[in-house]
Amino acid sequence: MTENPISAVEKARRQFSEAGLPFPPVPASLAEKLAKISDWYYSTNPDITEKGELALFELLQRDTLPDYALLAQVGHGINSWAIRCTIVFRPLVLLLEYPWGGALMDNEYEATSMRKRFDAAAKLIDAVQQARADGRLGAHDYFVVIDNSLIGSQWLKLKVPSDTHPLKMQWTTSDDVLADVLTAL
Amino acid sequence: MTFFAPRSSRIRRKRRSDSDNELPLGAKVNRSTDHSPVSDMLQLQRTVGNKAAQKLLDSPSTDPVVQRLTSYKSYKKSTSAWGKRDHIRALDVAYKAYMKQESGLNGNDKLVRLKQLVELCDAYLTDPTRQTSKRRAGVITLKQQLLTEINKIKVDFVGGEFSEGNVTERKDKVLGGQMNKLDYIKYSFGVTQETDDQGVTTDKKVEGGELEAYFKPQVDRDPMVAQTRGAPAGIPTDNPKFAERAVATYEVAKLLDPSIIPPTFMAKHQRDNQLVDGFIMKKVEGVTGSTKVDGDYAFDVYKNDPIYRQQMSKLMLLDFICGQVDRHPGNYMIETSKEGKVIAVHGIDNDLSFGDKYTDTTYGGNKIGNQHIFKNYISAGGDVTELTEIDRKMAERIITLAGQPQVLRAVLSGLLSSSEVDAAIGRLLSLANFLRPLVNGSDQRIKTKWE
Repeated sequence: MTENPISAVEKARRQFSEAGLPFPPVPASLAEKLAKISDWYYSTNPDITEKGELALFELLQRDTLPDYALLAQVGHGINSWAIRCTIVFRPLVLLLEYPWGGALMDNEYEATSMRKRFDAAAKLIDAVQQARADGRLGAHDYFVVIDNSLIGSQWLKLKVPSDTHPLKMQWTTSDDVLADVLTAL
Repeated sequence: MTFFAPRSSRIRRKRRSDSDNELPLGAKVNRSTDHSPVSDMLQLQRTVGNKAAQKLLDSPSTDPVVQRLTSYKSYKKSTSAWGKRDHIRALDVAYKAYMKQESGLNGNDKLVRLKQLVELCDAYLTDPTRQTSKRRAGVITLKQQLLTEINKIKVDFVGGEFSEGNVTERKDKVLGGQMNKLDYIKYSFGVTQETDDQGVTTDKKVEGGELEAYFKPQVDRDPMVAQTRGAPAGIPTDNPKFAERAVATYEVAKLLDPSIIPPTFMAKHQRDNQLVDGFIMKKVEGVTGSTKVDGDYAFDVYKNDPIYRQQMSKLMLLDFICGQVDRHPGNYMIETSKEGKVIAVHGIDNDLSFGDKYTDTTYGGNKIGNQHIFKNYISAGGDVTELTEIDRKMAERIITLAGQPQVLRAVLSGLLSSSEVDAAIGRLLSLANFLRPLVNGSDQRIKTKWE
């Protein structure tokens, strides 16, 4: 009797758990589509991942961005390491990046902070879906939320398709972006 | 775009009228000589070193260096003779500058400058037209003193001497989480050994010391580059050459102020039973800007410290030349004394640099949403035009280097592609254009004294 192969999302859960990290709040419908591309790199669509963030915004501008998830450890050097979690779950684009894995970081502290952020992100995902369901968000509305403790956090509400590139629009900076967007819904 | 801009007559005049001694490293050598551009470059390369030539740098030392050199006045007297001092003027200028600034230099800077002076002595002593000069005896004496002084300075690092056989301690892949597979290594430098006819070592002496460093293996591919600001900067996913970018950053720092980047050099290191390519960066002491110190982030704790501000100013300027796109609080180290005073700041993790897409300093104004590539964690922050404090000496060195872009090209050419080198020169010239009127016009942002 052969065992069922372990799914990519299960591999990811184990990897995060073994590293002492919380698992990101990837919606179930996306989680089941995750594929393991390489070590610490899981994506539902590696094409989008490897075209980069700018390409993602271009797809968003044209309203051709599919629901999508990326979980990865990104970085370089000795101390420039982070967990990157991108979740596109219409009408929400979440770009989360939290430091972890640097040689000179307090990785335990960072993992604890990350857990709080993931919990807040999970609430936001639910709240945005609810806002869509009850008509507070239109069919073409999107929230884009960048929560990045290294380069700063900000959010944007926009309609797509748009004549203006999202990165050229007026974003709102915030110290607690996930809570602020929750309030803005 | 033309990168070989003609030298500015304004700069030339300034050199003559200035106290002339704020200029960096090799650039000074050319001041009062009329060498061709090619010989200028060769002289500069000899003096400041290209990556293969000079691997002899260190972080600042707090050890005082006892003055053993003759005074400038005595030197002048010992080299006096009938006639103009045209042939010896480069040495005059450099030595006067060194004597004036010596007390303010860290150990590393002293070492670099002393070696420059030795080069200048050699240049004089080997000049065929100076073989019977009465000044020779004085120059020979000075050279001996300089060599003595160099030996007195505690040098705890000699790059380029890394050899697997001299590793005394190693911890493989233990640092930095799952993907950050760094090796900690400690190795001896300044090792001399004797071998018999069969090549077997019969005697080995460690005359230098031990260096603590990190080894980072080269990677052939990193798909996650696409998720960083490296991708729009032009850093490819395949063969991203992180090691070369990190080393190139240090090479540029050596031209301007080597203390702000830890010694970094290409190396081969044994791991997983094979010799792999990568780079070594000297381990530096201190805390990162993002470390919590008594409950606050270090960059907040030290933000008013004059040395912190000065060093960050220098680092920002260097970053603009290098096309650095990832200077965040976690990748600079703040080194402090036992009393808690900032001694130095060192930029680490310099791999995301030298992309070829940003050919001038306006790239610093690129934003993701509202956020600058450089966020205001640091004294300068944001676009180059938003620099609020600029170190005069560093600015002058940059302007001088911009007058000789072939020096930068020579230093970088072995490491980066021609388009990446061109882009770096473009950024250098752009930065110099921004700095020049500020320096010449005594702009408030230009700081000579940091307090």
